[in-house]
Amino acid sequence: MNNEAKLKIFLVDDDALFLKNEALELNSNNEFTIETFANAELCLENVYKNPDVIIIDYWLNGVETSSMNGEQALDKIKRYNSDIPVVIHSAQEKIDVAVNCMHHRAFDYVVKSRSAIEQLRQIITTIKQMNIV
Amino acid sequence: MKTAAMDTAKKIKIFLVDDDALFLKSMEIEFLKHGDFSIETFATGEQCLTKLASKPDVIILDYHLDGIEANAMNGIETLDKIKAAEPDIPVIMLSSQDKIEVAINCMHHKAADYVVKSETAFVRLQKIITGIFSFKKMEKTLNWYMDRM
Repeated sequence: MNNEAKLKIFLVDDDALFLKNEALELNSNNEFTIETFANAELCLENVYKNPDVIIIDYWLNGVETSSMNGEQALDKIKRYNSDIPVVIHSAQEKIDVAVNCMHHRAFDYVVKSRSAIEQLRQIITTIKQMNIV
Repeated sequence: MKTAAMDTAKKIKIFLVDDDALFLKSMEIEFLKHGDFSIETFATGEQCLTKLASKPDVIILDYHLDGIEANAMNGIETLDKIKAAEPDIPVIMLSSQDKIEVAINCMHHKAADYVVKSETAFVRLQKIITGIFSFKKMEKTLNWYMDRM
């Protein structure tokens, strides 16, 4: 496993502090290549790099109200390459929103909480195993 | 307001599964009041599975089926068994559970949708069922054209 290329992860969140923190926590063992983006538009410009996972916030229009939200970004990513797993990571706790994201072919939906990093790690492991198969 | 076309068309067959007898009955009444459905109700997942052969169009399944009998099959297990036997029947999960993880888990287990039990649940169910049927119709039309290409 060691000589394999590191998993490439895109993190997208408009909350700069949270974004930085998430990147640091997720990569505490330096096992991934992580790129962070402050909005979906920037992420989409870089999606040609074919990341292995995209973890994207649902509310991306908190800072700039004109930017697209996570669901719209999800659709665009899926249209570009439907094989990239997209995990929605959000403070949003409405069930309809979460279920709707799943209808839009999100790989998973994780609510922002203290245990979220663990959940994300688990999801990434699952994706890794799927890639090997 | 029935038309001749509707009379000849088959009624939409819905299976309702819930261990709460009162809720089950009120759902049945709501459905019969609001449309021309043929409804069958079941108190447990096991009973529903024995009747799968009669091919319902939609199954509405409670998440907590082991509320009364603790050793009864729960919703997820029933969902898995339905999907293993008849992967094409859409199953809508209905639950008083409003945890996101539960809802997402049901979606991973190939539920068609997830509705939280509330006053508006019935309206949502109706909308979802309408959505499923218009999707099926589109799929049929598409296949018809694809066959002729």
